[in-house]
Amino acid sequence: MITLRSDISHTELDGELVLMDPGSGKYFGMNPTGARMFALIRERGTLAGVLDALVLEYKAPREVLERDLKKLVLELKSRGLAETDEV
Amino acid sequence: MSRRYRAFGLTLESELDLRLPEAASDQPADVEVRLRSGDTDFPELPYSLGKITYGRAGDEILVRVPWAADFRVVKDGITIFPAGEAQPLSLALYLTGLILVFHLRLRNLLTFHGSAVAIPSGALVLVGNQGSGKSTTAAHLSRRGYPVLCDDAVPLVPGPLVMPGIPLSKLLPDAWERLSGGAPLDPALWDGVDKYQVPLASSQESRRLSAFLILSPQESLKEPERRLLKGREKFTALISHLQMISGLDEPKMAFEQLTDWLKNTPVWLLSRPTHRDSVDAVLSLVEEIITEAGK
Repeated sequence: MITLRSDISHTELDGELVLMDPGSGKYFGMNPTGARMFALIRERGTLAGVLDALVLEYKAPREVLERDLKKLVLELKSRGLAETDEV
Repeated sequence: MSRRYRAFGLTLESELDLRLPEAASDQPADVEVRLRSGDTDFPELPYSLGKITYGRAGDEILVRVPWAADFRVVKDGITIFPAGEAQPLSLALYLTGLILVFHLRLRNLLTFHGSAVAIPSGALVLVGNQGSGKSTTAAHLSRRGYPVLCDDAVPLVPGPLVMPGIPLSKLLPDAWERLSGGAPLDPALWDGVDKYQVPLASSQESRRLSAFLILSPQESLKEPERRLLKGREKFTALISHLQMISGLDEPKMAFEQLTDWLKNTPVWLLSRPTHRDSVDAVLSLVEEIITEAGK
């Protein structure tokens, strides 16, 4: 299970994502792939669920998508923006 | 004797003479500026800008400028308690240059540090780091038929609309000399630090936000360049120019409002050489941006 913090503010701009952590006042940006992963995490809430959707949407191999997804989730976790026991 | 003035889209009725455009006497006042004598009972003010301290107390913002005055700011009024030797002109400049910017916080406006000019499609907002040439570029544009809307503080309200600000451009002495060909200025317009506050062709109408322009001096450049920013880059390039006053501004509200506006507002980065001969080339690029903003 991946749970995003509910108080994060986020907006899509030209397919990319900007988000703000209201706790620290810090801002973060994501490229279009990161933005899509973030949206899927919000929708599906599990690593496997997000990965299944990404495999259908992107031509990249599953292993590559899984590596990039885990990297993003770890980044969110290390910044205190998400909680998960999956990575 | 009170007079009525216009600033930031508001009508001020003031007992203190201000360097602002006067409003019609029958226009209802939004903000009353009063002068009072005596000491204030301000509590310890928790925030500071240099030696100026400030804080919120309920619906009020309290500001202490130790060498000039204490200011009590509420939505419909500003009360000034002058320090012993404070001159009226100094009080007026603090009121228009600082206290009104604090007052905007009570009206939920977003304020950028920059300048804005009126263009045919609305308003062009110029931002950039200190010394990037915002005021100077705006002053040159005013000479080319684009009146200055604001200088130093650019207030925006949902729409988004750029509200007219203080029609005095803050110019370094050499910038004024290049702009005017050396015309003498009233010494009273000197801000006492490093700039003149110069009255230029200005507009007092609020205007739709057409575009942002970020000015970036680059020593290595020979010719100026312009580039349209996209996605997160336009947000990250702009956010540092938003005036956020600790203790008064709500970052989440500012983030949500700004990102919403950026969905439909172009953001241009104009990198320019630092040498002075580039002014005409910079202005040509800005005029291209103004033309594109109108399409």
